[in-house]
Amino acid sequence: MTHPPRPVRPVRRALVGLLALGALAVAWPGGAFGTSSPSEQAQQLLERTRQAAATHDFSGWVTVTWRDGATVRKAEVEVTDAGGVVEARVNGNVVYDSGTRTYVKDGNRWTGIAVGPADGETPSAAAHWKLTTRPGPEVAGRSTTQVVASRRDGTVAQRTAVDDATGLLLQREVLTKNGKVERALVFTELDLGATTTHVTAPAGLHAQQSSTITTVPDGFVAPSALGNATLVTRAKQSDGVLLWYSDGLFSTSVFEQRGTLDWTALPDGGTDTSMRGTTMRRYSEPSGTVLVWERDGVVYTCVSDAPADVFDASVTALTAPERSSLERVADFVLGPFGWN
Amino acid sequence: MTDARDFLATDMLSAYLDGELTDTERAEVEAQLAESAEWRAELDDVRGARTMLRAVAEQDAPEGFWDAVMAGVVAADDAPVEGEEDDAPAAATVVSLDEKRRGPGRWIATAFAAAAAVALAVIIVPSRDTVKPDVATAVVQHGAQGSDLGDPIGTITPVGPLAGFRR
Amino acid sequence: MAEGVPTWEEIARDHGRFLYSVAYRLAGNNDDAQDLVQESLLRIRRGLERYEPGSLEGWMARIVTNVFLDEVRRKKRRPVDALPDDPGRVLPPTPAADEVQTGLSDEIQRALGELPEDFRVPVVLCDVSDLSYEQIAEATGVPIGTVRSRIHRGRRMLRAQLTAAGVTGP
Repeated sequence: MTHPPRPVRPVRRALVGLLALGALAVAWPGGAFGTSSPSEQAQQLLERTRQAAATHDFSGWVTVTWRDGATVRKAEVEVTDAGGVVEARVNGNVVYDSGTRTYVKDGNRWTGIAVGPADGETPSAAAHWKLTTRPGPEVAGRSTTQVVASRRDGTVAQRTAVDDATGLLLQREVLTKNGKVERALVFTELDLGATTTHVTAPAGLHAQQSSTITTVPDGFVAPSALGNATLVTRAKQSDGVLLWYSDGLFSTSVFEQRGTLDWTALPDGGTDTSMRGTTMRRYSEPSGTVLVWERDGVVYTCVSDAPADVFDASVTALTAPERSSLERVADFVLGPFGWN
Repeated sequence: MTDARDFLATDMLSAYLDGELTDTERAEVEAQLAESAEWRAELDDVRGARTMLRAVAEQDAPEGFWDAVMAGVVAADDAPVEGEEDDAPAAATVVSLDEKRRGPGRWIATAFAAAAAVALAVIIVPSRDTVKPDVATAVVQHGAQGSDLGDPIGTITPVGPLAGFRR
Repeated sequence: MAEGVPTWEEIARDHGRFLYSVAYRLAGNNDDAQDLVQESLLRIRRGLERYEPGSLEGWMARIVTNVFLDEVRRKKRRPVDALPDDPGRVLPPTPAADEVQTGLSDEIQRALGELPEDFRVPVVLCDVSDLSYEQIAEATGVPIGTVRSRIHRGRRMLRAQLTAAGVTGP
């Protein structure tokens, strides 16, 4: 059962308004797309999933699997979307997204997560990925259409299965260059219909401040692109700078903090890796890969849902030893204290 | 978050090989090794690296090396002890590699100047501003930002930390 | 070694191999090793006045380390040594063409070179100069727990690099 769009953050509202028209054209089973190209059809389907998440109530179970080194891990997550508030529950812990705020309940502790205002334009996925559609698998007893995104060399990077009836995203798999599933999630049960969340975020809980900036302060690094992903938003938070990149399909967050990295304070379970002489700690998470390192007095925490090969290639922009001649002149002129 | 003792535990393997453990600690490690294949594998790893490095550790300098070095030491001024040098102007610390090879004097002078200059927060000395990244929050934040910009699943997947995989 | 305090020439003669090895493993190439050893001997020469007989090798290794770290810090403050547009700008050190070491030593050096300095230094001080963790902590100015964990992780990274390069076992 659908309901009218509830109050959302500005971009969602705009997105929903924009797609209301588009939805009429594509929202019927079997997806008759008229004369658009396969790539356009794929993009329309992906757009449809964004709108569907904003306008359908449901409850269900999602199985999340991800590859962590040689191990494949799994978690069962109970999900509810009630009037636009999305709640994901696992082991009694919760991620709670009210549309204006995001919270995490970890044990008994609630934390507000700062999310930068979403004012950037995400690029079109078709610019860097080859997109096609085909009939999809049956997921949670429902028929789907599958969107396949491939790298330039033809290897599949991502497969998503979209519910034909509602446009909800029911399955997503991210694949390595070798064709192994790096991360996946799939709905195993889905009940559409009015529902309520199990918890409510306590009133008066504030997330830390986050404000958009157009240039980053001295000492921070903000390349305009990481590989094929372009810089979409920059935000200043109380303890650092957050950059968010997207290539239309995958996204990467870069959080930078001034100081020296305390390696012993990092969570367990990561592996040490070295890129261009810089040590990094790597974690494989269900939602993406995390890389932590420090360079020139800045600590970087990067999260990306791109496949590992894409992420690794893009991160070199943050570790490149070469500096532009302009930067080298600045170093020379400013002397040893210039970058502090 | 992990117990600090757990985190240090595998570090003990190198200390074990280097004879840096107390008797009690050594006994603990040996007990762990008897039980855990992972520990045994990790011990193999570091023992291999240690053995290989120790096998090649000492070597002779190439032809002409010592002539150059001794001549350089003899030729150098009895320069002031570190700390007595004034802060050199920025220009003095910019030395091209070619200059460096031609004469040792300039390089040594810059080394003194560098040593005397204010020590900035560098790799070995911990800075006052120590950063402990909150990886779990970064993961959720990434998902939330994505979901804000239209990713319908962004909220659902950052569950790793909550599912207990970083404890 | 004669009783009492040796001269710097005696040190160079009797411990040259040791000095060179530590310097070479830290710096990764002969030119930089030469500068390191030379500067170290200068400091040794000056420091001999204050030297109290004890672990000579430990003391020497500390000096080489300090010289090396000073140079690393200098490079970090000034990322390039050459002026802009200089075609001879700094590249990471590579083994010189005239070196005669072959095989395992080269591979080890290449792998060591991949480690960032804060891991390479404790591993070299432990396995090349055989310092105790306490001496390494003193030489590098970090707590002994950090020394222990860096040696361990440095060795694991070294092993991973060597395995990736096809080098297995001593």
